[in-house]
Amino acid sequence: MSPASPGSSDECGAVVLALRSLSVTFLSLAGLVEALRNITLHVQMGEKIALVGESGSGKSTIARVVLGLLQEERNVAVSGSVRLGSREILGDQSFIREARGDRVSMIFQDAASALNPTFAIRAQFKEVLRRGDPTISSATALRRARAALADVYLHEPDRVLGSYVFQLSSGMSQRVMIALALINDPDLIIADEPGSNLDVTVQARTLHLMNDLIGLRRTSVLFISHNLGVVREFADRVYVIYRGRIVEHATPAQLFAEPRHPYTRPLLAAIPRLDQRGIPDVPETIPGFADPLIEHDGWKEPVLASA
Amino acid sequence: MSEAFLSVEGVTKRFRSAGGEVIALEYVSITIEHGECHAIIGESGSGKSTLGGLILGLFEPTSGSVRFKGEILGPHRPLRLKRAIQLIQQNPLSALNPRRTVGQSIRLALDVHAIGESAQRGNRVPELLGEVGLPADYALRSPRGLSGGERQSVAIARALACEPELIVLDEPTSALDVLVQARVLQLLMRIRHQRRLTYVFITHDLAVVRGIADRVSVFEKGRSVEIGPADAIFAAPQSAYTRRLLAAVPVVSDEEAKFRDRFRDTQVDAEEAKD
Repeated sequence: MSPASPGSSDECGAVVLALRSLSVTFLSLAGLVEALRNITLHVQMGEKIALVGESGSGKSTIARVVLGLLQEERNVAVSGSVRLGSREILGDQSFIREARGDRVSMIFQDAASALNPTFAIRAQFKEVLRRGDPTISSATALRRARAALADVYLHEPDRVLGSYVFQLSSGMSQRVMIALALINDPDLIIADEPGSNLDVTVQARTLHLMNDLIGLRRTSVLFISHNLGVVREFADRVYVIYRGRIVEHATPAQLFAEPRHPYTRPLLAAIPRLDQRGIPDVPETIPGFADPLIEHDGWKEPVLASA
Repeated sequence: MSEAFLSVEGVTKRFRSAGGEVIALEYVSITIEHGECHAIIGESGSGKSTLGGLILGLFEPTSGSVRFKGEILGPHRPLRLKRAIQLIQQNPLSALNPRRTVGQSIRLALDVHAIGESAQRGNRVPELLGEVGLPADYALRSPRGLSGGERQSVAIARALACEPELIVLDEPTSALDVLVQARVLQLLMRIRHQRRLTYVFITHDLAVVRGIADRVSVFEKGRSVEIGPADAIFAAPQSAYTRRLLAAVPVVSDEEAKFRDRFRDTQVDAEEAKD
């Protein structure tokens, strides 16, 4: 989707994910904690959308709702609408349970702890492939797993398939997880801080690899990140989230050229720069929410046909 | 000739592990000058934290020596040297005893090193908290109830209580959000100036290094591959490894991208294509 022709829904591709007025409140011993308020965002087919915010902003809570993980917990109130394609997933746990790992999959920050330590990689590929096709034969599963590992440039697929996660380097584990996330050809991948615990050269290679693979398949991606440099390089559009609310919505070019929200401006200014000596000045206090959501030119949330 | 402030002379450090011996550092020599902010950069396994441990005197080098103003550093160093060289870690919770209040932790540092008259030490606690920008009533709080940035400020106050000459900072802001990171870096630079401190700043974040370092040592797989003034290294890195590190940094502006992409030469592309 080119930034030159944004907005009007007839020009847009199919909407893969749409959140409308999503609010999440946790009931804790200390009382009610509002984690998300009125979150509205969408991801179109083939788009790479970034959700940017600091720790505690609620960005990972959004991922958990979309994967249907939060709804299974007690002491959580979720309201609004979350649509995967044309299906509403709030209140339909059986659908999201089926879709998870198949139509929507997840890439985690720490591959080593996201992969199961007690099974060889081969068993994990078989399990994921059976979610996509319960009748798949062992031979076919193995062949597809080998091909998927070759796609992520793991050149000794049989050795990797026979390994446990502790026998792999962190960069290799990250690639295995990317291969697993893509193998059932999902409509949507949620990538939560992908590669942020890797060394910078490994992270760059991993992100470029992921970007190439999803580009080939036109998979949609919801990137969750605090790293604005990564966002600038990979995202088509950005939603800035602050204390559970979306405060700004723009392309990376618009956002970095002219951040408008009183939270976004100091956030961008605080990033250390490779080409400048000195440390940026940041204000002691960050403003609250007097300001409404700022949508940059052309970016309006599309109106969805009712289900 | 006067003695170097801190000198690492031909240091090799090997560790025994289950799979045999690991060479963490191999024949490394660095001189740190009084008052400089010296960044040690490299990826995981480069040996940068091992070097930090040797400078703190936590363990002996396998061969070579580490000296602070001429005195040999190691596990048997006198208390005076433990006081003079302090550590700030990535995770301040592991540095602060969670069962003590902030004030108790700072007071203990004053007592252990017998800083000032015993009767005056109680007054030093609020002064030190003030120096790092925290209100005096934080003395009564537990480190568990503080934010990440506040905890790091407490860890800095406790290190300052020892009246150090050199501080080893091992990824001190890597776990912090970007706004908090900027505040903590500001604090660290102000304190260095006011107290004429020397910093050894260990990090993988090259943009932070550009912001604060006077000189830079680049480590790769236990070897020091490049050392020099930060201005020179960022203008024209000599080693292919440094260029590769610079080329991989995600950046946030077009000018910065232009700056970085000078390091994205064919050699880098060849490396990226390799598994």
